Amino acid sequence: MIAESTRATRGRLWFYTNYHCNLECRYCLTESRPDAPRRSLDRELIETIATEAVELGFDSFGVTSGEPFLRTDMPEILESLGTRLPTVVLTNGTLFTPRLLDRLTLLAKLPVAMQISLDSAEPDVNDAMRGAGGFAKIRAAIPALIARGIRVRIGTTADEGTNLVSLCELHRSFGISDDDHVVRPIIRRGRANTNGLGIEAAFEDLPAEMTITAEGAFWSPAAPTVQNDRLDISYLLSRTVLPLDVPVDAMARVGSEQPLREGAFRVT
Amino acid sequence: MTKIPPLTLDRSPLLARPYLQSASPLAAMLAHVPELLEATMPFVSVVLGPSQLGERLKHLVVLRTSVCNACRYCTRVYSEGGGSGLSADDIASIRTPQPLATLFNERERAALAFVDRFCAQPSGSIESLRAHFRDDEIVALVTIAGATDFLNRFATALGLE
Repeated sequence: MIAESTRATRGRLWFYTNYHCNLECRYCLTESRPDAPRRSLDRELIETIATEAVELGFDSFGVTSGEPFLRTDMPEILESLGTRLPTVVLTNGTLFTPRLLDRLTLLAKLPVAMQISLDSAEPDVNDAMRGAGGFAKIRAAIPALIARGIRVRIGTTADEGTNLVSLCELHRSFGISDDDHVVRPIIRRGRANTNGLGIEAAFEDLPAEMTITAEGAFWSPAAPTVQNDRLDISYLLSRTVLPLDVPVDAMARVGSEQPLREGAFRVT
Repeated sequence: MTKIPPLTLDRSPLLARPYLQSASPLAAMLAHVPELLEATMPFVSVVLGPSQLGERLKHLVVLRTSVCNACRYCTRVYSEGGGSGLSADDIASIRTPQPLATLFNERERAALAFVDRFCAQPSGSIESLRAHFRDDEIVALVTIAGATDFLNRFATALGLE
């Protein structure tokens, strides 16, 4: 388990590929849900940005969203990113049908990891926060992915009541090491704020990892949140995402003008 | 009419916030696109700031351009006239279709004629200036009128109040 961790460098570039999700988690930062505005990033744009990111010295990619695997082209996106740099994709782990799993086998030879959200070893507790039936699907998906040679990590969004002991026992039972278990607190933004959940996050608490969305480049993957259907642009760097050095330059200037300290939250 | 809400300081992007201290509606709107804000505000500040033309002449050009473009917001703001050297009568006259020649000197009358032509048809509009202004002054006047033309259209299209 990696608890609250150190500030990540800006070495990782994140893509918010879409904002809709098959689930409706109570603490979701982006109010994702099945009928949420999709705000999808074009695959071609993702690949162009990825090419520039390599040239600019980014050292890894992250993919997050509502739920990335609602996109039918996600396996190809991950393959494209993974051939360039190590990539992690954050998923709720509930959409891994046999057909999708077969399409994902192409990732086994690449440095692509699936980070599956799992908040409790107890099905009822997990599903109360994340949606009915999710735990069983995750429990089936993890060994299926591992059997195909795909690296699996566990991402836990925790509060003070989270039983990490039983959760760690569970992920170890799958053969997932403590190094591949990430725990972060509920951040009081988006739906979490609406529901009065989590802890306040100041600018300096957010990981400084540039995040590309369909509406611009942001300071952190925890920045482009949505509340009352409105995108929060407080930490918007620029609307321009290509050439990538436009938001890179903006990020450097924000970093030089804002008080920085070790970030409190880690996404991966 | 569809309106884009101007951003408040606490909802605006980090790089936009230094420009929102002055409560400028222009900045509050441009904050939606911080990279445009960061380029536009310094540009506008230089173009409308102190120059070789003097405050009165410059104010006259900005106000007349705004009147010609029927920009309600800019006309109102520039009709306040504080510190411009323009009197209330001057401002009232600039806002009419035919400003009173007796209120303005030769250079000012040439500038007013230039603005009227510039707003209607930019090509050839600087001819009236040649007898009264140096080349650098003409370039500055065109820049001021052009920047004001941009601001007028921006403010009118976005409904700045």
